[in-house]
Amino acid sequence: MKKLILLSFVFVIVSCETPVETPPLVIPEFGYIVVNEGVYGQNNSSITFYDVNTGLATNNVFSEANSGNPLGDTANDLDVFGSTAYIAVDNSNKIEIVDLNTYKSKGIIDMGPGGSPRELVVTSSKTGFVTSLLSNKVHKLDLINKSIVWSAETGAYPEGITQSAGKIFVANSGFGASNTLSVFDTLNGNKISDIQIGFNPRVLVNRNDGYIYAVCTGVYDGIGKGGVYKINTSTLVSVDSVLIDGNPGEACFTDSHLLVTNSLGVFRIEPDNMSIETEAIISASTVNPIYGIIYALAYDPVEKLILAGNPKDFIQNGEIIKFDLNGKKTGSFDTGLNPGTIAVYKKKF
Amino acid sequence: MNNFLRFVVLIFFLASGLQAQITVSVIDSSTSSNLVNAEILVPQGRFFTNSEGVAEFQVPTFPTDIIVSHTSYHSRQFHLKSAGIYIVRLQPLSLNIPLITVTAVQPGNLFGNSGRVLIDDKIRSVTRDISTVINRFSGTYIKEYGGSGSLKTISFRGLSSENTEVLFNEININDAATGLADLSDHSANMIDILEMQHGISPEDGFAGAGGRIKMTSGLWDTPSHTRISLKADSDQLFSSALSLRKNMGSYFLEINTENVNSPNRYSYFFDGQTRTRENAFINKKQFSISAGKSYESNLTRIYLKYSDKINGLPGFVVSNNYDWSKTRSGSETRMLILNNYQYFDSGLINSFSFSASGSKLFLADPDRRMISGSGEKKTSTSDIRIQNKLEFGLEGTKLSAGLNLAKAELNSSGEIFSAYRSDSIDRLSGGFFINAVFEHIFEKETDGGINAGLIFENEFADFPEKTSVNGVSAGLSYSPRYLSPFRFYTTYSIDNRFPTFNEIYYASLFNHTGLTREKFKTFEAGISARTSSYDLEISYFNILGDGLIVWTPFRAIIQVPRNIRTVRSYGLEVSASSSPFPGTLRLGANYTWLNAINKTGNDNDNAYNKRLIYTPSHKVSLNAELIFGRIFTILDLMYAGSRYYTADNDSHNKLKGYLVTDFSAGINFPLLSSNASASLTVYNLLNAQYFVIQSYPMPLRNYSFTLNLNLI
Repeated sequence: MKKLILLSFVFVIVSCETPVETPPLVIPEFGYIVVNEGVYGQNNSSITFYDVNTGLATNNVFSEANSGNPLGDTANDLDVFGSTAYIAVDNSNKIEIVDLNTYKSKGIIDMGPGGSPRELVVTSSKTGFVTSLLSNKVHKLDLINKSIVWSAETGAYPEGITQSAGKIFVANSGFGASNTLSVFDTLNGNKISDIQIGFNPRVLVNRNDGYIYAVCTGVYDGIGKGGVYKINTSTLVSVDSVLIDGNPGEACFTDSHLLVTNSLGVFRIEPDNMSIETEAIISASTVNPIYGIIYALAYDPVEKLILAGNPKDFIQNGEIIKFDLNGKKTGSFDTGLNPGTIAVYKKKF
Repeated sequence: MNNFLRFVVLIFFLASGLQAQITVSVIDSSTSSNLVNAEILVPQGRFFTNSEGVAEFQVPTFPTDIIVSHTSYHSRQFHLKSAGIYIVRLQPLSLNIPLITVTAVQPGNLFGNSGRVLIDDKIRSVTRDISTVINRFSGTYIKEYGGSGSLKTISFRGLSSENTEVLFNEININDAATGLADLSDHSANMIDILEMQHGISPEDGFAGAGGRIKMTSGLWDTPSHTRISLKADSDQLFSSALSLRKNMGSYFLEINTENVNSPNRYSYFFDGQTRTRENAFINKKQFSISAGKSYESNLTRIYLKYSDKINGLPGFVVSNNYDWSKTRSGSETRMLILNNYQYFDSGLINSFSFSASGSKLFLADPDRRMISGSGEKKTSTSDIRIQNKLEFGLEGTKLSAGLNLAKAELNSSGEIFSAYRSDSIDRLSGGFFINAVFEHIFEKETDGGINAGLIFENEFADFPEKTSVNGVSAGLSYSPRYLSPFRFYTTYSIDNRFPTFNEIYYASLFNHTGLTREKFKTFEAGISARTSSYDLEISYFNILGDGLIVWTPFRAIIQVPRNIRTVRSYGLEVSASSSPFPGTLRLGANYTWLNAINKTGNDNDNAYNKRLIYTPSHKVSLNAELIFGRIFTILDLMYAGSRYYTADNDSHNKLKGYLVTDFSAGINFPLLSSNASASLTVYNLLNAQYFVIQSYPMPLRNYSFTLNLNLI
């Protein structure tokens, strides 16, 4: 009663606020799963699902399926095995395990204080590997028991990770100061080798052809000279490379080419001879007119579409823009904040 | 906690005392005529002289300070030790009479909204720092991160804190690197007067669109005293402060020192549980010495301050990560300020100030979550300023001109990711202003008078490029007698803000150069009334900001500042206070309606026409002070409406509105050879769970006990 008497004026103001609308949940069959990083430190990572058949995008699918609980802070990577998604949520020190039939959480792997899971690769229903950005480690995960099997020391600030030929490859970014890949035995975590490449290796792309392709972003100066290095996964030697200015970043394979982004846009590379086309097939300003930053890149082999993430100004919801293989825009859909990872998912019956 | 409360309650039950009557008669020193509607400011409230130039009021305890002021007269401050009748002679601004005593306090702002607070023991009891006092003004919103030692900055009318000028003894103390002034650094124990000017005024130069906060320490008329203050709270804070003042004829010497220690492990609510905040500790030591002289027509003061602070940076609280950071930061600051006021026989007043300051700052991040490489970063800044203002008053006209020069240097070492920077940068900046205020009294007495003010200023800086910008402010103020006591005013101003060192420095990363100044156009119109029974101010403001600098998130938490934003901020500010029972009950209320809108881009941008982040549409502050004999109680309520933390105002990224209620009760009593007061304050009485900034939870209910001793 006292509160009402004192606050009657305040209540008038409070009652003017509008309620939050709840979107309907979509059960996916074929579409794109977008992991939105959110804004660092704001606990607002989210997942967007885009239904290719209907053309509808549904945002916040995780929190809607899990009683409004947030996904966490800075969800950075996702890998799918079967109908389960594994999401590395960096600042929440966890790997969220999600049933892709319902988007309900199946539990987490708690990486502990400072665990900072950055990027991951799932090799079976039981096994996965994840880089730990702030503790300079790579971990092997038991996905059934939700535990860590082994941990190994990497270089500084490890980011990208992939598996090939029974080995785990880790890109040691050093936030620009490192220039190595570390190679580990998948069984016991013993380091096999360090491979020297360009500075700031962040993204590893693997099309299981006996090579992995490491995108080195380079230092953050005015030029940003980086490159792509082709590594033989058996000999652990960089057999070829192409230097690229403008801080190259995201990358993915189409059916025939490697696509890489930099400050100018998306460029096509012929993997056999590592030659790069002189003109971008998609200009960066087409994706992000404000800053020219392409935040995510993926390829849909079914629809033959290139998917590019547009973070806009980094403090509002973003979008995914779809392009054909000639770089012509075919459409777009809205996402959450800072769409950083795109996975193409087809439900298997 | 129970023992703590029991101990405090024991102190409360002491004998009450009687109120004492004071009568003040205010006279024009040149004509000996009675001054009607002269203002007398006491800690309990504000009183005005009647048609015979006399005001009567009561105070509960002695000694007590009063300030007597009137438009077009020099103000005077007195220290009263007993009840009785006092005759105060005020000197007109235009007269040439020596032997004046003037404080640094201005009586009010002709062309806008302003407020002033005398910092007394009651305020010192209920506050941990001055941000609590500032948050009670309309138009203001304090952004804080939780707990005693957390960063606290002001947002005024929706603008960022770099746009609010913060002065200490006339010197700008906004940090050269960040442009911020951390209000948690300023304890009420070290300050005598706090003033708030809303926006830009045609009466004084160099204020920003975000207004001006002015703190003063070491007044010439403060009486000799020895004051001890002890504070303890439920988060294990312990602070002690000592203030010594000795007046020796026309000289004074004052020493202030304060020591604050707290692990600050406060309780907060998150993810369905009550938790304890870690790594939010604060250890702070401050020492200041001021010495001054008031002689005939000259006032001089020298002020020296040393402060040493170390505090934890607890980091954000997010899902599954509650103890994010072990980072510590520290600063060691030395400051020297010299003020001199010279009053000439011709009526000219010259105000000169000089300051030199230096700070060393460090950040230590053992987990390297905020700082890469060695996990440690050190910087130092130094700053030298000179400013001078000439004022001249003729009948109906006041002219003034001022200039200032400042040389600031920032030394920074350490890596910023891969952009190796060990630069030392310095900047020379300054400016001048010329100002005129005219007064015209209409022939028909009931028409009252009108004031017009105009100020032109030029500011320059030589880094990153030589730049010079102009600003202007014009105002009108009308006080018709037939609508007395109402005064109507309006102003229009054009103002600029140069980028800070940090904005320039980080803009150069990733090749984003060419950062320029922000520009503001402000319109304001309002009504104010001041009587013996109430004060009322209502003002409407409308600000257009262009080229606002926004720190834009980039990869891996790097942020880069850019001039990308156009903003329209408009709203209404209402302030009201009343002493229906002078000396016994004082009520205050402030309300701000704010619409700070992003005007960058177009309808295709989801952030276009949306509210700026962390700007509440509504803010209400209510306070009541009840004094009965020796006992006083204070109730403070503050409500802030919902705030978005993303630019597109997505409803999923919204902080709920919150109400914070603080209650204090205290008692004044004689203790041995001192006048003492003891008080208990309950912060967040209703245990609200709220955030001011997303991911930085605020403390649940907590308690503080303060004991003040004024040795006789």
